[in-house]
Amino acid sequence: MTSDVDKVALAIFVAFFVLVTVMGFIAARWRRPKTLARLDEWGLGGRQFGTWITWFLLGGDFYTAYTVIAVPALVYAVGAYGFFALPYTIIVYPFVFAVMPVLWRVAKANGYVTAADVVHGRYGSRALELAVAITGVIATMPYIALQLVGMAAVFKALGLAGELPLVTAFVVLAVYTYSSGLRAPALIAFVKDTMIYIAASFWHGLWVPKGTPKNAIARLNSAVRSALADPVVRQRFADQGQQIPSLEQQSPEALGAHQQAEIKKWWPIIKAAGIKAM
Amino acid sequence: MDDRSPLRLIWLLLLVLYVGLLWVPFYNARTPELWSFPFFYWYQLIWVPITAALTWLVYRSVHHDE
Repeated sequence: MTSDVDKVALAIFVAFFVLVTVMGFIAARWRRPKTLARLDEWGLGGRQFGTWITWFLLGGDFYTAYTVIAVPALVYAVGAYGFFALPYTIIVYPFVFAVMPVLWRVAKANGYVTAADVVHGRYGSRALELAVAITGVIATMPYIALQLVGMAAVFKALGLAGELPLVTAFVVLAVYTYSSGLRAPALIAFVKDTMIYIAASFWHGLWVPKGTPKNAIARLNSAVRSALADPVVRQRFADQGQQIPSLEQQSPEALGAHQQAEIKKWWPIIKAAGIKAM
Repeated sequence: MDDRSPLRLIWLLLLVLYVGLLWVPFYNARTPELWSFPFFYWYQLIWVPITAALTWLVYRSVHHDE
């Protein structure tokens, strides 16, 4: 991995970071409550998130840097153990399905905000309430730790060194969550859940004006081929995460076929989406 | 939810996946492979749709008051 800053990637990252931060602060005014100073306004979004918002919120909270980067990294590092993230997620859903509706009814009827409130209300024990609250915080720690590992990997890939970017990002996140409560992650979840479907890929080729003599094309092609066969060039391409086409694909005929295939693949999509050149 | 009707037995379906996934000796194997995935991995992945189907079956039997 190179230590140079990848300017394009960094610009995209900063743009989304700014977007999410602005949304995080605006979220305080989303479905505006009379006051944010009540715990259920801050911590439960005023108990008015329906199925759709909750669906996005859960999606955005489950499938994050933890899922996309940290879990694959864990599987690479420790092998099959890391794959426990999958069966773990599977067994959680039926448990949630069986338990949460009951918990939800009890909490709604009695105005409880946290699981600890429910336990205190049901058993009247301060000690048990405290135990549940502390367990909740401690049990979340490994997940948060993996989030940090994931984010650290992102910053490293962007070419940013040191702990400062990570600390800055999490302080900003903490500040807008402090000011907006659960409304912040719920609103941002819409961005996150959409972005997870975005992936970009591109390819390169060399073109010459129409009517260029055949032997000129052949000489150009053989020059490019020998450059692409050079170990130093291959290493540079690999460092940037780029793949070099196989020898058969490096011919002018193969490039023409590839271009036709790409046009066939993308043109209907471009047409359907109404995308035009500016 | 309060009646002790036989319908409630359907909830036992949800226990199936806990047995299937938490008992590792069931799937601690490399073969048979599926699309060159070792058995260990595709076995666990296949439980995603199975769990969704089982949860849906139980969900159908629940009375919805909202």
